Amino acid sequence: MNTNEHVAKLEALLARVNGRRGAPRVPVASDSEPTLYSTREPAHAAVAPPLVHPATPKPAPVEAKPAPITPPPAPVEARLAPTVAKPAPAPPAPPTPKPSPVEARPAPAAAKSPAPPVVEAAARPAAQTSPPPHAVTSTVDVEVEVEEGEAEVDLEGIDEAEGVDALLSDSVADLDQVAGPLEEEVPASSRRPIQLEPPLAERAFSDSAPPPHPVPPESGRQVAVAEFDGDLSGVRSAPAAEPAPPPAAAQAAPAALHAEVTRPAALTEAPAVFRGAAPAFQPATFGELLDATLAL
Amino acid sequence: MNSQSAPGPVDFDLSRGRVDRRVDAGAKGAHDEQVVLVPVSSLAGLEKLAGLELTRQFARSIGVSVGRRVAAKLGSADGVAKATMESFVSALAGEIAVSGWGALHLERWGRAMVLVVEHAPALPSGAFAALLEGAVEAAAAREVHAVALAGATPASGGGTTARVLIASKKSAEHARRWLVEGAGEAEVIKRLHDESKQNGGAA
Repeated sequence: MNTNEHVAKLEALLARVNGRRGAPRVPVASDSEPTLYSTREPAHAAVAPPLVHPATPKPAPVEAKPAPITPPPAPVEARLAPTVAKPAPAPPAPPTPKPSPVEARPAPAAAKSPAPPVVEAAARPAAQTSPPPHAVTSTVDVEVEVEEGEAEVDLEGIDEAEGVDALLSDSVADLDQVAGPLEEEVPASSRRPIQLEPPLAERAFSDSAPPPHPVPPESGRQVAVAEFDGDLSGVRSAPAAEPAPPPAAAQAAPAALHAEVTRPAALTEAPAVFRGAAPAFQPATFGELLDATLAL
Repeated sequence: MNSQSAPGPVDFDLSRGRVDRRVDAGAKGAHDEQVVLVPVSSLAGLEKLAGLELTRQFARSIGVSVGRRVAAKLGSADGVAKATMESFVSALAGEIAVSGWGALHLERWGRAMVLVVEHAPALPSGAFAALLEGAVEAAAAREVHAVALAGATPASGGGTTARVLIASKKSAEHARRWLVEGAGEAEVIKRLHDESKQNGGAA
């Protein structure tokens, strides 16, 4: 929203304030809201039934009540939630095109704004199935109306003697303050993802997260004494089997070992000296062997 | 002799009922010798009937007959002494095998000569020693004495194995005494060599 739009809105607001200055002072801060919704709801009710999802809770039948309905203290966004969910099959629209019930409201001064007649758009079924091309304009009306409601509340506390400049500055501040939550807060029926993942992720992965619940004790017989002295009864239990060695893959791979080989120096001297030849008896004939064996 | 068959070491003349052990054609001073087939069981029981000494003499006479044929095959006793060990062993083993006494080979343990007969028939202890003693003495024309080292032990392929030491009379007596005392074959041969060294014999 640029400055020109702000100025235009403020001028319209100023015109309304000036127009109301002569009117009798009655509290209209919250009582005027039911009137707005009651006039709008029938317009949507004529189109809503075939479009609302069966699981979606239907809005309260406030349309049938001829008397003014006391609106809940919920904010405007929560009140508009069921109606926003109607164009479900339509592609997700940008957060700004929120159909506002106040479009059908015959605003005395804001209706004179250059915005197109949104009442027709809301009454047409086609406008429910697809986002209207002038959704941006409707959004502007919503902001104006909301700001107007806030302004009305503030006007009650404004002294007549205060200047117009102070009023303008407050209105601009209020607009900035109100416009922010309207864009950030998500209706209950919005298809935006619920923003709970960041906190969950933080709880899951952050170190500061509280520790999980302690592991419950194992079922079965609880041993009263950690180590039982078998000498009392003489009964010995079988030795516990050695735990299975971890798989080869799980074992830590040994570091690569390299043998450091130290070899002796080459021998420069003969380790022994051989003298002569060992006596060997190699008989060439049978006679020699016979003589040798007979000589034993 | 059957004229249709070539002459062999043993001739069976069935018409006359005669078996002859023939000598080789080149043998000098030898001639055919008539033999008979005797069951081994009869020889095995000879020791109980005639005693050990008669049994040894009987076996020694068989060996002398074998030795003569070896000497005739190698020419003479001088030829036996000059023949190589392979030649002598081959001639003696052939005669032993033809007569059915087993397979013979020679072992030399240092200076000692040991004759081994495998697959030999089960003869009384000392019978084979006497047979080989007579064979070597007749072949070499030298007085020798044989000592049964391990007796007739059962062989893996059937029969028994006889190990016989050929030695002088004195050494044979010592060996027999050591064997009776319980010494083993290797120990007996070692002691014989030790005594030979002490007596100034050839090392």
